[in-house]
Amino acid sequence: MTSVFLVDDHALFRAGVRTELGRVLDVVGEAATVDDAVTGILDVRPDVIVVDVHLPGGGGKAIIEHVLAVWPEATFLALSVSDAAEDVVAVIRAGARGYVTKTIDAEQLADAVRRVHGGDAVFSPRLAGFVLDAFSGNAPPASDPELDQLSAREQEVMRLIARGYTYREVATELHLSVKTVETHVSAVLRKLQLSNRRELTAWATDRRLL
Amino acid sequence: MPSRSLAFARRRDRRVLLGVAGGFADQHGVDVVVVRAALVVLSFAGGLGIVLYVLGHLLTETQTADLAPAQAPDQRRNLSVAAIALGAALIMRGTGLWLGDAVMATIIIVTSGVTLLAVFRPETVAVAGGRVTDVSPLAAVVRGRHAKQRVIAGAGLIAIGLVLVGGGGGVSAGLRIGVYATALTILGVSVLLGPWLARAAQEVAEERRQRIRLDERDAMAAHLHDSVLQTLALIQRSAGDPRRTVTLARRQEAELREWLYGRAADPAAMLSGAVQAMAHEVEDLYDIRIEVVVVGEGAMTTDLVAVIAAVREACVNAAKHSGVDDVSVFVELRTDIVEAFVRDRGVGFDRASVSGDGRGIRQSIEARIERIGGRTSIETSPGSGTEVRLSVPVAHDVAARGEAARP
Repeated sequence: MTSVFLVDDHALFRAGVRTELGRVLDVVGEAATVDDAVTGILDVRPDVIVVDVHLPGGGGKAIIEHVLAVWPEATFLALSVSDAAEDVVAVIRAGARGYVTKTIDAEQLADAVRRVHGGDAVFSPRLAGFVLDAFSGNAPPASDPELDQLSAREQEVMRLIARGYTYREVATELHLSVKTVETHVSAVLRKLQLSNRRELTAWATDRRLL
Repeated sequence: MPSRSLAFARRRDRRVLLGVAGGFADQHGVDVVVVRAALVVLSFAGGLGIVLYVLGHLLTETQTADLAPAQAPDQRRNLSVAAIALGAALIMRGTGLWLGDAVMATIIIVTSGVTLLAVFRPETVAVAGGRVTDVSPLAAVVRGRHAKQRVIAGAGLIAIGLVLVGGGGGVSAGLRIGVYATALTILGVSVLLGPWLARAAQEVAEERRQRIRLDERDAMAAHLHDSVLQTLALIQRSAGDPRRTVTLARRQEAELREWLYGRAADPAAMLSGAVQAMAHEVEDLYDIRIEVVVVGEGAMTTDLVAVIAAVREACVNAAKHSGVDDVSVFVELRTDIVEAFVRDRGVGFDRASVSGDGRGIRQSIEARIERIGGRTSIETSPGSGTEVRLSVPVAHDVAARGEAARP
């Protein structure tokens, strides 16, 4: 059974998620602060760490950076109520394998945890929207076209995810295998993390929307 | 008292002595400086100004709150008050309680100069709650409407007054020495008391800041009480009804977020804000959850209004007929086209069999989109959910969202 570590500063929310996930996953630890989380995660070495984007003391970003510095194989799934693109993109760029909103139901959350554990990237519609926004516009002379632009196929996949399609539905719509869709999403995640595209950072910092 | 035309309430803040002049000025739409100047001049005319001030104090009450002026100062009323004061001074001249024409002329001219300097201060506009925008008096004098003419006229009048006193013009040497001695005394006193006055002024300013802070705290407490506390109470009462609890929590979340991070500009003026607002409204009305994703941003146009209206209709259809309570809305604005998708995973339907009830789709969605030159397609079959797809060509300056949304 996949082992999960929860980081969220709201005890109530943590307790709720723990109860829900506990039925189908092995919740091996939880923490409310950045320091406790780093110590705890490195101590129990869980399969997946579900981390809140907003935490006092640096947020999920700080945890991801600290843990990955010591344990590069750690897998993170970001979770938040915040819709602020800059925060979400910062956590993804720090190394999270996916992002879901807190309104997600327990079954979907457990599924997302299993998928990041299996090596997939998990994009909520909202994150797909952020990605389209960030990579949109008339691309300036890119320093690294491979990383700084989405391919036409990747854009199609992102659009369908933003429309609320599951990976399986995306695959059916585009006549692809689910595996291929997952490959495209992982490629987008990689671009999101590695791209130096100026707009990506500038956009993420400037944006105060939603 | 407010029914009587002369009745006014004394100012509670922004006053020099007891707030009489300020209260009168606020009530009658006269600049307070004119009133004060008139009182000063009339005080020299047989003490009439002092008598009027004391009477004013005896006959009025202090404002219960810091009120904004009832009327904005008006130049004609300023002039009429000045004329009345001048008339009263002339009448006093007849009674013999008079310091002599030369002295009074000097006082009147100098006072007029000071008044002229101070009257036109467009920056010191009283705002709601009686607060005054923070512009230092000195800065206010040298800025604003007709600043140059005003300074020249005012300084000129003061100079003429001083020359009248200093240069003779029928004024006795004794009086001249007296006036300069008085001026020196005032200068000395202000040097001595200056630091203390400055500190006192600082304390007054600090007190005002404190009050503003308290006001803000009160406003925040009031807001939280009206919104969050009320919702929490409602949630406690409807604990047995999870759907209602979720709706309440969601609405409150959106409201609080809006309040905390809300921008001053009307968010519904931009595409993303307008889509959000539409979605919240439908969520509230039909108790469903709408996941909204908007890509691209631009100011609302009549075409975009029509697109959102069609999207709304599609959401309402999904809420009513799909049998599920999750709907996905995706709107993307690109340079040449706007596309919108409304999707649910509900029961779906067969268009042929609902032609009678299809008025909503035909008129509210398809016709609306056709009118603005767009296309509609509906992907559905019984049991497989529904997706309404709209696409409308636009000539729109699409901006990267971050840029358009920057406050």
